[in-house]
Amino acid sequence: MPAARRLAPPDGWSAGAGLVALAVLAPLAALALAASRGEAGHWAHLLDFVLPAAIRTTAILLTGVGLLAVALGTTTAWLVTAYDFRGRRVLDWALLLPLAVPTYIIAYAYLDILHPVGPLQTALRALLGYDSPRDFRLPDIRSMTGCIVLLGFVLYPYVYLTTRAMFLMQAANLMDVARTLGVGRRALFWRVALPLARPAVAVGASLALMEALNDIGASEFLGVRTLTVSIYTTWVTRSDLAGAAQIALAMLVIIVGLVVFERAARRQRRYANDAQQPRPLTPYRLRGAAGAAAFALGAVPVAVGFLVPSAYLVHAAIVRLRFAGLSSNIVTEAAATVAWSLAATVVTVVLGVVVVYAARLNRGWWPEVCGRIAALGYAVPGTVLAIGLLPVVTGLDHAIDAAATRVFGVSTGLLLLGSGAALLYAYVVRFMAVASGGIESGFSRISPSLDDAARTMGETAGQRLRRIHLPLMRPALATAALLVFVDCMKELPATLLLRPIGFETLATHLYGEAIRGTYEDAAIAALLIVIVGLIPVLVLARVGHTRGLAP
Amino acid sequence: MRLDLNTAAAVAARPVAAPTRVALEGVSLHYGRTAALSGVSLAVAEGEIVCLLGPSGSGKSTLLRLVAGIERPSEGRILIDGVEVAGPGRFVEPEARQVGMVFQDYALFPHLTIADNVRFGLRGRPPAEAGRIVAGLLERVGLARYAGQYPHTLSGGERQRVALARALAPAPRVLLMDEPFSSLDGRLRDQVREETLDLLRETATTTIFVTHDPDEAMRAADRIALLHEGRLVQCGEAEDLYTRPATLFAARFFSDINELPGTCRSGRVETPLGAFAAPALPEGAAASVCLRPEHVRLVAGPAGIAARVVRTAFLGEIDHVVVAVPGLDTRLTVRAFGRTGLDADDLVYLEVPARDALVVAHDGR
Repeated sequence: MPAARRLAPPDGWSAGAGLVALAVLAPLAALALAASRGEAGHWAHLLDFVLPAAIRTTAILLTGVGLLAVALGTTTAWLVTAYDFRGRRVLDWALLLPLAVPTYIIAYAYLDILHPVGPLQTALRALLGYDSPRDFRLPDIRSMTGCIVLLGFVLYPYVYLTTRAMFLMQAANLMDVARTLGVGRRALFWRVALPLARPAVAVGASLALMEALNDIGASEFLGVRTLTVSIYTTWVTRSDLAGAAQIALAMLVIIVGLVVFERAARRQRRYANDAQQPRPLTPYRLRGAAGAAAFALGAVPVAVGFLVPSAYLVHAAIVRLRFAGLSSNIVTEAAATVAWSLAATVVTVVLGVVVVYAARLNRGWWPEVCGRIAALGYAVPGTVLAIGLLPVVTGLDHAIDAAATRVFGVSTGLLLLGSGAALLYAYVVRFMAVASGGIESGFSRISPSLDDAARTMGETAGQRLRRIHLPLMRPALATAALLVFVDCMKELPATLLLRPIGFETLATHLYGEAIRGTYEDAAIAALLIVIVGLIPVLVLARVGHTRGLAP
Repeated sequence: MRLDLNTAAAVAARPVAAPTRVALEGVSLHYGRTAALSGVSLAVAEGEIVCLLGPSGSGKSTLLRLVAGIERPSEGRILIDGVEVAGPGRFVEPEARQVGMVFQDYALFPHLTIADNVRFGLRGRPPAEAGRIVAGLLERVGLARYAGQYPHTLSGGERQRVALARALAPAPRVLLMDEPFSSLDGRLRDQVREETLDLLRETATTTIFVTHDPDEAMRAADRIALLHEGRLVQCGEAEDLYTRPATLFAARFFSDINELPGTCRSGRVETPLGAFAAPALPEGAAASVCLRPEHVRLVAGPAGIAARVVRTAFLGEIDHVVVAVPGLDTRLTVRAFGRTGLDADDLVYLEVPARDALVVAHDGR
């Protein structure tokens, strides 16, 4: 048997990659199927009453968030690459910090901070001499504008990250030649840097918009009825799977558009790069007041997107701990969150290795297509994925139940759904791209001649993986695992829909409290999520930093 | 001080006294404690084509970037048309200097078409006029039919011409080119260089270009400024630098040379190839007698110095012969026109006309 396996080693790996791709495609196919099962009248009802408003709301939200994220992301990226001032190095990585704050947490925090009797408005009234909220209040944060501003301030780092990398890579020669042709230092941004960075801006913006589309907490807390919220309520409050699937399908159209846009932009970015051999731009030194102004300008997004909400969470958490101590609920939920995230991380990374390794072993089109499909899940919002998974998982559950009853005479009930395996499934599909991206870059740094050398010494594909690749790419694996773990911990929409009854993670706990309007342990849960979320941001900041320093 | 005199002499020696377009006066640039340039003075006349020549790290590109305004000098002044553009109290930004620049990698904007690249520096002109200039230049460099295409579709030579057209479009006061031909190879390189020079002379464009290739410098430039370790070694016409190098470095830079070490005794340096007059050298000074390969001649009779052939190489027009001379540690390279028919171990006789030899003291750079 081992001899036979040695003759055709890639087949098992390719088959594994195929299964993973199938597992990713299954919920999408099921979505289409479930949507088609709804009654025709149903669809008409949706078209008449639900979809137009939800689509309009979603479109306005995405446009607003996109514009704000691009404006914040590109200007801050230019500020820290084209200018040098006191505090620039700090700002360089601090501008990434809002990434650690999930959308539902920033909304949760600002709801309280900006509440008519909250700290900010009370202070403002005291300052202006008003007595009661009836005499003076700021516009309500629970509005479309509020939602756009809050999402924009936590999602701009996607644009900042890609654009800054592009600015750093842009050959200084291009800037210099533009200046000898009469372009002033400030006009460089509009005439050269920004047009050149357009593909990077597009990539960053589409990532930010996918995240905005995925959001359920912020829009719901702030009363913005997006498509995501509609899907959720259609299923949870009306138990209408067909209806939810139909809305989800409509949303998939938007996502396909975003993915196509992002892919096209990435291709263009590769094009723009290879022509130049970069000598990095030398930043222009700003001194005194100009330097201080630049720092203040760059610090605004950090303050709004990270410092203020985190300071609020720290404060609220301390108050709660003083008042009630650490509740056993929160401890149990934290443990459950970590356990499920760990399990999902292990499965995701293992499957990610299978998919990527299959493509390395077999250079044909098949493993590559499987890899592409397996990575699709990152674009599918958690709610859409969950609605697609429900029929798949219940179908499997029924099959398992029938088989168990027939063979053992025991009914297993809804095994996958009840045990939380469905949740695991969702995490794996959703974050496969995060894992496979990191694993792929790890593999790409290992010379193929090492594979060939090991082969000539009689090592099979599995032995090569265990003895050569895995040890060499341990750092890449660790980074991939870390990123997946943190994403799982923060995940809200799919968890809400697929968790077993009575199961709470930190994120769902916070959601529950925010919806009920009770402010109890949620601040502690939020703080824990933000702290864990800081880890990958720091990793990212370090990576970006060393790349920036490279000559 | 010596360098200033050099420059003054070179300027005075030029046949037609055109007004000075670019003047560098004692320009230095330090990065922390390392000096990229020290006290360089140079004057470039209107319509002149001057080449900054030197090995990598000699500061030639830095000098070009100082003239463009991309770098600021630590000391000294730079003047364009008699107006100070960089100096102790004044710095004119590159966008206000009216200089054109062609980079080694051409730095074409990848997101703009060829026509838009050339039009880039013409903002503020009436569209009709700008269009006329762009069309005219693209026609002149033979790229009119590529006007709507993007840079990545062009070959290296074509990109170079676009970069040139773009730099010339706003009619700059001086054109700066940094290794403009070095990304091209062989025949193409010669062809593109000839075309570029034709265009520059036709438009009487004052040009400073940088190269590390002495052959290119001699072919293209009216005058050559030779740089070494951030200092101007010598400045003059190609023939001056070749036949009267100021230092051993200058002598070595233009071709392979045979160096015969010796010591100056009563105004002469004794070597196995004979004694060479060195009236300017002090008694006991260590010196080198430098002989270019074409200055060592193979002669028929035993009147010359006996030598043994080590190897020969056929190079077409000339034969390259390496010989060993008794009493000399190093081997000599000799260049002979026509086929010599020599083989290894043949006995030959050498003649070295004393007037061709260069005697250089060892302290000279």
